[in-house]
Amino acid sequence: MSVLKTSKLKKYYGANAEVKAVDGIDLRVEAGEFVSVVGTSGSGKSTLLHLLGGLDRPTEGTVEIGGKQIFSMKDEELTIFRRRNVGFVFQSYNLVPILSVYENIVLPIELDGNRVDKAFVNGLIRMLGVEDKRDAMPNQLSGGQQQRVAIARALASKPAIVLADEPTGNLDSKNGMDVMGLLKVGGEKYGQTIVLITHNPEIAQMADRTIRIEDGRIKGEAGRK
Amino acid sequence: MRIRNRAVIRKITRRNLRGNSARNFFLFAAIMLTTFMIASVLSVYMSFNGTMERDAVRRAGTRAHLFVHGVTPPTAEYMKKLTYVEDVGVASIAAAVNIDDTQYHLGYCDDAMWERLMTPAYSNVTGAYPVGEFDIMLPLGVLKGLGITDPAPGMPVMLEGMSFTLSGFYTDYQGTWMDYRILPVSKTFADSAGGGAECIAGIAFRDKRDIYDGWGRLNSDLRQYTGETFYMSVYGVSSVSNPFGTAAVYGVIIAFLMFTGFLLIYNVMTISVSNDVRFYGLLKTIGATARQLRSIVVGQALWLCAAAIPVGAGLAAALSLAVVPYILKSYTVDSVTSFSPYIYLGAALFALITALLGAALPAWKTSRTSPVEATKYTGETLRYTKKASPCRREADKRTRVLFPGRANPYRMALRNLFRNRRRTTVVFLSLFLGLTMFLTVATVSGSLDADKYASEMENDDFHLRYQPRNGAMFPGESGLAPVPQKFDEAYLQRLRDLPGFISMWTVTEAKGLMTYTDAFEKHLDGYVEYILGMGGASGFDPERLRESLKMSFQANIYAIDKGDIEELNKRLAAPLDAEAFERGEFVLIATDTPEIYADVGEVEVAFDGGSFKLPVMGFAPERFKGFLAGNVAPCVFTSKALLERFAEPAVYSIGIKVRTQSQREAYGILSEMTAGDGDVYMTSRVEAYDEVRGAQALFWVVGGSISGILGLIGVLNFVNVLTVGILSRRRELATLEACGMSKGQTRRMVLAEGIGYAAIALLSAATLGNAVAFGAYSLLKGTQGADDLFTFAYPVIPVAVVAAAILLICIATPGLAYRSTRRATLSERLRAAE
Repeated sequence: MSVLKTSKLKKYYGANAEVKAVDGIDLRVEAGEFVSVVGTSGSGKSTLLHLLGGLDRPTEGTVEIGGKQIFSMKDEELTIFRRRNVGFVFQSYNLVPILSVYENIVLPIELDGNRVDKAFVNGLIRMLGVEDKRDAMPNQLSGGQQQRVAIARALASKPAIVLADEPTGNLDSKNGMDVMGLLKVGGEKYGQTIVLITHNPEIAQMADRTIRIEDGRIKGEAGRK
Repeated sequence: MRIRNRAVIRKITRRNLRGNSARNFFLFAAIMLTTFMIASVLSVYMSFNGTMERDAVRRAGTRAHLFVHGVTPPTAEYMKKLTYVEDVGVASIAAAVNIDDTQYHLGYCDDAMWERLMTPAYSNVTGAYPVGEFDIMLPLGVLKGLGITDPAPGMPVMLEGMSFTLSGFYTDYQGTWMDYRILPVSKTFADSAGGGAECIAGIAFRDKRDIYDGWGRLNSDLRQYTGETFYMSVYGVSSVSNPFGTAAVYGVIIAFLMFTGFLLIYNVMTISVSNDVRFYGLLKTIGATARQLRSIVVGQALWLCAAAIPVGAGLAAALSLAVVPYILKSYTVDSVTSFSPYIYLGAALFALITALLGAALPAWKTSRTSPVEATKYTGETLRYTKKASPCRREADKRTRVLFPGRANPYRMALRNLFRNRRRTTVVFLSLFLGLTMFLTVATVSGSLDADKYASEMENDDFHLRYQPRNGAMFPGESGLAPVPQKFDEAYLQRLRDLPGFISMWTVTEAKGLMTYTDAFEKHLDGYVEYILGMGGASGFDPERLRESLKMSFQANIYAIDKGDIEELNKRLAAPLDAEAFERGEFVLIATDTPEIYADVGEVEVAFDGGSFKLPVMGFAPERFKGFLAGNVAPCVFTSKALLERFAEPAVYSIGIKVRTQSQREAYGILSEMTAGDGDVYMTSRVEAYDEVRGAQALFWVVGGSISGILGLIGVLNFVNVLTVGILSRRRELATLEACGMSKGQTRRMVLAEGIGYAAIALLSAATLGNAVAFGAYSLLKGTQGADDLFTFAYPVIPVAVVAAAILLICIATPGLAYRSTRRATLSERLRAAE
């Protein structure tokens, strides 16, 4: 069953649509699938990811998550939908500097007014190897540690989909591979769907399926399965 | 080898300046406002000093500091050569004339005397100095006395049977300071009238601060030069009575303004530098030296100074045209508005120093930027320890009771409030200074009680005092004929006919010589001390002075009615026998220091028509019947019947009570009756009330302007920090939204931050600020003579309005800044931050 589905998804910029960042993408991602998206700089990968997560609105087309058309929702509704169903991991970690590691991780849950599943969160923290940094502030962590926390935050609210935008872009290769391993293991362990953007072919190969994008269009797909 | 890189540094400075328009606005405003306020304060200071000095010259009737009598041309020439003498002018007295019971002297003044020493004391000088033999220049007051109200040059005038042609006229302000009141005539007239019988040289010293020093030097030099001793009369005054004290007050105000300006400039520069730290780090990476980085930051401040200082100075110049005369209105009707270039140079210099100080620290920080640190810099300064302290954990628990839920927007707002403590402190300090200044001005001004002052200063609604200009109220005084009784029955009847008239009392007076007894010793000691303390009396021998005062132990004897004693009895613990007073069985001494006269058992007063020796049975307050002129001996109150037995008393003063609603109308009529009558002096509750209201308005304008500008600087600082704080957190806010924080939650968070800032600022103003305001009020109320001026009144309405305005700004600013960040889509905001 497809958890994520796009239809004729387009995102154009400029008065006369001079820039076609995403140009008619039809995509289906199955539940629990790990999909990587590759492409050159400016090919439209990040725009696609933002559209998939409802961070941006498309010029045309639809995005369906769990059978719901996300762009038919109003802003507030979309935000709530996003915090319950989508987790994000960014290249530059984007941790909230005024919150500790633990507070950052549980942020989406608490924003939703839910009780924190402490056992689950503690498990996540253990798995990501940041137990001893629980009370630390983001500026006291290394890049790799910050990205682990960002992954934990993305997984903490048990979202249907995790969208990761070059999560290893700011990390060295060892840290990058570690983080990717954790993301993959986390996704598998908690049955989450992951869509990941990367430049790195090595990292892309860790996914179940790799989609190549050029000029805002899908130019090819390759799968391990 | 010197590397030519100044051009590239300049280019970077200019480009950086262009790319920071919002910051430039705040810096421009801060520098401009600082210049404006300093220039305004300096302008008021210099205009006030200028007005004081001009009025001192006007009161003295001359710019000369002293006159040397009986000089010869060689002596005058000798004096001109003395290094400490600035100007020497010579007047040749030709004749004396009496106009309207006042003696004047016709005299020829040389150019220096007329142009440099006399004219500065006059205004409205019209026409030319007399040239023709019978030409004359006259003051407008003298012309009025001659019945000429519309004078014109060329007009004939008669003086004691002599016919003159009016060559010009002027307004003079002199009182009875000068021995000679010179009416300028031509040299020909003076020569033909045997002029030179008395030649007077007017001397102005270079050092205006201590003219007595100049007097001493001139005296000794002239004695050495001529072998003679000259009679000298000192009229001039030292330039400013207390220049140091006045300058210190203005200095404190300027320092205060500079400090507030500094806070804003420093804060804005620090924020700007922090935001650009990656840029500076990059410059350093590619080879910019610390010095070059500093010059980029300071250079931007200098560019902004070049634009803002002229605007601030220009505004101050324009405003001083309107404001300075208003501020000095309570002091004089035609103030001197100073446009001295020193005002604007001084203001520019102070503002420049403020801007450079404000930029210096951020520039230094920039120069120490580590390229590696700079690239990692995220703009979010946090100083949390790895492990929360017990204190913090406790605070955390408490906060959670208030705002349950870790991700509660209010709790996050609370943390954001203190994430950059130095910046927060500067903002609070800036806003606190403005608010405290406002509170002080509003409290002091609001506590000025015009009604209280009017009723404390004046027992009666109107008080008229008879004070002949020539001092001759009684026969035999000043060798002049006494002025006929002004307050005759017809005059009194006019007063009874005033609208709303309720009652009236009179005090009569007769001059008497009181016999000195040892019981007056304490009083005389104080009097001798007072005389010796006056400038110019330092050469007196105290013993001789005491003896001479004993010889002229004259008292002003005032007579009051039985009813007045009954009124006084209401205030006394042991009432006086009003009937016995009326019968002339005892007298009272009018004094506010009765302890000095405790030993005076009886007084003996001699009049031309006899004398009395009566016991002193009590004391009355000095202002019991309004202001009473004093003399060497203390004033004595007798009954009217008693005084009439020994002398021919004249009505000295009158107190009038009218109904409240008729006071303004009655004041108008009395003002008309007394206008132009130099012998009658009127005081009134209406004037006292208006005087305080004027002071109140003045205080509001001056204090309100200063506190308004300080408040504006505080608010600008506040707005800048809040706006920059939110704009620089664009990525953080976008992340929060990406994590699922709704627009409403984010808005609530930033609004709570604004309200938090407002709450702390208002709370500190409400506690510490109010304490400062009350302290200032108590200090002013405690100064001598100010007690009657104040009744504490908290300025509830102004404070409520300002508090509401602050709250509104604090709510509106983060809301607007947040809205501006939302113009871009979430995706764009996240991408821009990447």
